[in-house]
Amino acid sequence: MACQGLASGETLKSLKAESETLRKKLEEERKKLHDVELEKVAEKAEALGELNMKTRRTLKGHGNKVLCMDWCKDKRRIVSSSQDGKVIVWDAFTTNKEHAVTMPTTWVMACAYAPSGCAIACGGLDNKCSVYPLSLDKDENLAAKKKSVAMHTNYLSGCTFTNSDMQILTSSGDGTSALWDVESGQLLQSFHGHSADVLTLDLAPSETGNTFVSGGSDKKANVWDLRSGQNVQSFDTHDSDINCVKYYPSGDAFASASDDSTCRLFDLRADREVSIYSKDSIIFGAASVDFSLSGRLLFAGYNDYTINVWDVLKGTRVAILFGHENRVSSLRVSPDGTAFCSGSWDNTLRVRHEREG
Amino acid sequence: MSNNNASSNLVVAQRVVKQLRFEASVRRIKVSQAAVDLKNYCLQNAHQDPLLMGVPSSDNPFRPPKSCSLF
Repeated sequence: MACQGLASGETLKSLKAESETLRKKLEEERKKLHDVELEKVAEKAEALGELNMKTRRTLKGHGNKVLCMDWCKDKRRIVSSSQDGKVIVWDAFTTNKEHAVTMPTTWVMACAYAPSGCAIACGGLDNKCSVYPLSLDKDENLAAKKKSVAMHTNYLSGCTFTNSDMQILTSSGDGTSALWDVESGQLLQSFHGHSADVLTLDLAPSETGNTFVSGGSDKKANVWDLRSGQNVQSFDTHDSDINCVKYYPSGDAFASASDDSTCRLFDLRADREVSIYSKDSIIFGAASVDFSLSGRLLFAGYNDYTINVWDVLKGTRVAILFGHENRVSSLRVSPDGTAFCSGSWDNTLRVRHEREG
Repeated sequence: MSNNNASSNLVVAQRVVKQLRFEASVRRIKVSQAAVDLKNYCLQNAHQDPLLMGVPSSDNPFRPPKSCSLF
């Protein structure tokens, strides 16, 4: 078995020595640029007033744990998926169920709404991501039009459409992420680099270009170039699995939620962690995060059934929200930022917003 | 067998070095600069953030539904 392109003098020993040197150099470079803390820069910013978040809708209907949810671009429909294989599309204003699909698998860990609002994607223990076009005819059997798009060699942990209905990005327990063409099911690009299950992914806001971030059981968050498949940046400060990653609205940073009970903010241009959202009293893992429209608030759902709301700039907690009777597994702010929805192992979803005054 | 192990270790090590070389070449800015930009983005968009500012009941699609009376 031939080894490709060994430069003269390269041996296993010399390569290992070089990687040690490079790692040290990276650490030094990052340290040099760490001239101030985000909280210090934010000191002069006005403190946030008390928040008055109320649950406005409770979506009941799942017979088992809600594992994932996503908003439609119309800001009122929501798709959610559950442990018992059911995927439901809701009208969050009226709480009516508009569509229901029973997947041929349990633990549907990922679901996503297509940008057009005309289809949903979902998958889980079946190792696949399937797309269901949504029919206006309520009696039509959605399962009949189902299209299998992605095939992994382990469970599907996350999926999202890219800027159109035509491509889907998936993350899997097989340690890879992948980009697929929906129509043909063809694999367009695969992303290798995590050394364990990839648990989460998020696409960069469209203005900032073609990248996405993924988080895994290897405690790493990796940023990837969609076109080349290249891992462009890597962050490994978490002490345990990263369950969720979400881009900051400007695309210059992203937040993560981890089993180590902390959420963290990573700035992409400074190439380092710039804030950590934690408290000694918070000892359970964080499962899901999302930003408010301005990026000032970070909503995080935890395994202790609560949602903590953090001031992103000052690093302090501004509210703690109760209500769910089991783990909060999934949390998303609506596309226009007016409300956020949380899904839980208590089989329900809750939509909350902030009352004026 | 040991030959295969040795060459696959080598391939892995080459990949790691290649990746690290790439990451080392990434251009970075100071945290002070990055932090100021994050703060400015938040402050500039704050008044348009409904979860921060609150939504007046009249505009709110999620307000508690009022019951209708029919006469």
